Amino acid sequence: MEPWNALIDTALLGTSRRPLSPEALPPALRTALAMAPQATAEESFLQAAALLYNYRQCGLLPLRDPEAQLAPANPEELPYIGDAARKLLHAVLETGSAALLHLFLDRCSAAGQIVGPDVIPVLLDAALKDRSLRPPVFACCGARGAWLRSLNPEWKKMGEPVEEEDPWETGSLDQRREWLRNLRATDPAAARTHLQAAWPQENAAARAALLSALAINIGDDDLPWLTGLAGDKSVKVRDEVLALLKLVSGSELVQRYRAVLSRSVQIQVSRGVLGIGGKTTVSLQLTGMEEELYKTGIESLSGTRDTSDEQFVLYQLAASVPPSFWAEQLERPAEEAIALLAKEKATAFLLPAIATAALRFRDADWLRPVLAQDQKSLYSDAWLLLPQPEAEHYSTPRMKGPPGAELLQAALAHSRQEWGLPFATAVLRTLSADPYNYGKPFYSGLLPFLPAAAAPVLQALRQDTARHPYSAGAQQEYLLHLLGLKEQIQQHFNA
Amino acid sequence: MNLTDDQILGLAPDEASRKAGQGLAGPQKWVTLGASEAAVWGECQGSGSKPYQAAIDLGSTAFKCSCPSRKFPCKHGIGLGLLHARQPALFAATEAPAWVQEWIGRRARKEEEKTGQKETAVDTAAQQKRQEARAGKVADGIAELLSWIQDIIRGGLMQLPDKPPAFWEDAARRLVDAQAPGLAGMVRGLGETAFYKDGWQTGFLERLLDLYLVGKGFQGATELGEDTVQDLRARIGFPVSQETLKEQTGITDTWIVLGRRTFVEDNLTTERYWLWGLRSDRYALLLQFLVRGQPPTLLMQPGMHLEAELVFYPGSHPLRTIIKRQLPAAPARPEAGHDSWRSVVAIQAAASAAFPVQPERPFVVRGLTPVPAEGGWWLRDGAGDRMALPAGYPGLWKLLAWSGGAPLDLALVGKGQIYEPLGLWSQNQYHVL
Repeated sequence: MEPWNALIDTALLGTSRRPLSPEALPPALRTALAMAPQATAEESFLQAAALLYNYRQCGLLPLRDPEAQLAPANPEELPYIGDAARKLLHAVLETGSAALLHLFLDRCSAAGQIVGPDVIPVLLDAALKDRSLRPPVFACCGARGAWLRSLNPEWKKMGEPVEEEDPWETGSLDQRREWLRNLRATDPAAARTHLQAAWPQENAAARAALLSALAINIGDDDLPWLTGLAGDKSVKVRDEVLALLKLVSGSELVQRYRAVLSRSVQIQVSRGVLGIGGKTTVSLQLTGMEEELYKTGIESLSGTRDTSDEQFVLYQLAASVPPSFWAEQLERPAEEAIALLAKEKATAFLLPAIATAALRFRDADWLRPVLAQDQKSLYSDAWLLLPQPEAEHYSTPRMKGPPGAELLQAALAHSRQEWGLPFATAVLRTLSADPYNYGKPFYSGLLPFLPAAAAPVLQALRQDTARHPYSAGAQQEYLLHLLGLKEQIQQHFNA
Repeated sequence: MNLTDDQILGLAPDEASRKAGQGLAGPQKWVTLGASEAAVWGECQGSGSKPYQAAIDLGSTAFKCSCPSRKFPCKHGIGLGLLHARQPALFAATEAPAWVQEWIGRRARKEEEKTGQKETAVDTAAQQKRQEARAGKVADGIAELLSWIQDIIRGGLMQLPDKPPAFWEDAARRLVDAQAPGLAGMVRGLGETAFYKDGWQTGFLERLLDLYLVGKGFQGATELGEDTVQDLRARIGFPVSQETLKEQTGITDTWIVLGRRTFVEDNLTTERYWLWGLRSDRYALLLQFLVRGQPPTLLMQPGMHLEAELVFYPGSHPLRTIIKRQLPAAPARPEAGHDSWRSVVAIQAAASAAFPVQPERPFVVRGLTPVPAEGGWWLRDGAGDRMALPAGYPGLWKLLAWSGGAPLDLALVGKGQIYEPLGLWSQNQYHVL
């Protein structure tokens, strides 16, 4: 046994149970130990152990192992960022703002530059937490980053290509639905085929959940299969199929709604005196409503006193048919048709229903006149359908008070580019008026959409609010700092 | 002043001061700026009518500010330092204003007074009596300690994981009463052993033998050389007069701060700075003890260079020092350092041969490559010899990022076969890990 291990064994049991044999020591130490005076077993052990301890300590050598090797990283092909950008990156990392880091990395990779080795581990850790950072992080970390990823098991997983159909075969229900949604966005037919192939193996809950993915890019091609599923024995599946059929203008269900609405809406022209001053109005009277349709999600009873049951049914039907129905029925283009409906209280209540239909059937040409005519309702979903500048134009004057919060949520969910200054100003004012509900992380999330030109607006708001004891001063200060860095990043990489 | 941005920011007492200091690092905030060989200064417009006067002593990196902040250095000092580091051209070389001269003069006088202070009217007889009384108390404490160690060995280490904290604390307190605080700390260290981890026995037995060796050494001190006795006294915790030390001639060199470790226990913060003399190739350890709320006297950051005369505490292979004199220094490229692990172990062996209870020591070793082996990471030198990185070393990925599989010049601290990197040189610049 190795001498030190023999010593440890004795120490563990205690000299009262197992005295140390001098034979356990190396010969060189036995001679030295023999010179020590006679002592108790404990003292003898300690003398021997102390000798061996220092004997090992003085004779310690490094391990020689030429086989221990590590393949070096490939040489970098891209230039490193300069000192100014390095300092900027450190400042960005200190803010903790993922949006700002994203911006820096996007600009850096677009400029064909890479970051220095010192920040690579920090960036790879950030990419581990935030999937969207991975492409720019991988690009900015260069060959050294790829080499490091290959050594760290956690980082390595990030870089591994995911098998295309893996989540579909082995993922959770949410992952499979997400995968199907993504495929549906690019290749609707392929997504349907995948679902059809897997259909017999799925249970009812999975079928219903996966069917919901077909709402993306749904069209007439989906009708034959969906119509066939309408009689499924599962209520969940039937409900989901019904919801999908309502999205296809060519479906039999929508056509039946349309037929009822067509019978119920009539245009009336009253004659004026001597044929002058005639008035065109729209009369509504629910006519020929099939009892069967009440089983398709159309409610027969109104929940409010202001709306009669008949009006309520008509409202639901109007929300369920393509808005182009009104052009045909009222024999006039969208703007005029909506203006005609808006003119009378008896028909104006249909405008929100037509807006819902415009969103359902993705028809912006019918949403615009509704937004122009209906000042009472708030259409935050306009962000879903309208081009961003139009959505901003609609939202800017409506940002005060509670509607502002709803519009801001919609804007954050659907904006794809920086906001214009008027809308950005309205957003900053809304936030400034409500310091309790919006913290620093929320302010950081605004960064991709706030233009650098919003900084003076923010500065002025900060001065205004600074006088109040409870203000958004700290958040505004933070956002100002972020905006300053954003401007520096843009200037640096544009130079 | 040769501090980089990062080093200046590292001097800030907290995150708020760092951020506020960065906000003051622009010329628009400063009414006046100036510099001399000894100091840089500026007047910063605050919320009051009169600007705050901030200055930095370049020799000893000390800060002064007229603002009411209790933080040290305050945001104005940090901002001034950052501005000087980033845009030195803004600081016109000129004669220091009266308030700066007065402050620098006061500091110099204080320093002179410190070094010139003699132990006036020392009652040598009384002092001798006190020392003898203390030595007696320590001897009694050590006798009791050795008996305690023997009890442990007799009963076996196996029983120790079940011992309550009081078992260790009582032994440590007895040593504090015996005026042997160094030994008390070693006993507390034994009690902090992670008994749940595999292989704790080896580390524990080594620390127990350290205690035994110091105790037995003290009992036989009359037969030992002076240096070894000093090593023993340092381990036991006998105080050394700094005034006496400063009377000795030290080693004047350009020292680079290789690394810092901070330990906080109750209200006491201990900062350990490892230094390396670029010309003398000597390593040094500076300790700073801070009670909560007390401003530090040493403001140093890893990577910082200082031209200073350091005086070493006595011992066989002295490491601990104090600063006798400090001057401004420019960064310099290190020339010396070790080229192999064999050269490091030769020094470690010589130190252990002279005095077996050795602390961790700093080293600069050139051409080390991180390599994986046996489930851990190692540092291999050009000859193929390797030493281990500590398990769970937090700077591993940063080290690997710098290396990319190529050899690095590293500053490390450690003993035995385990060494922790403190920093590295890349393109003549020192980077802290």
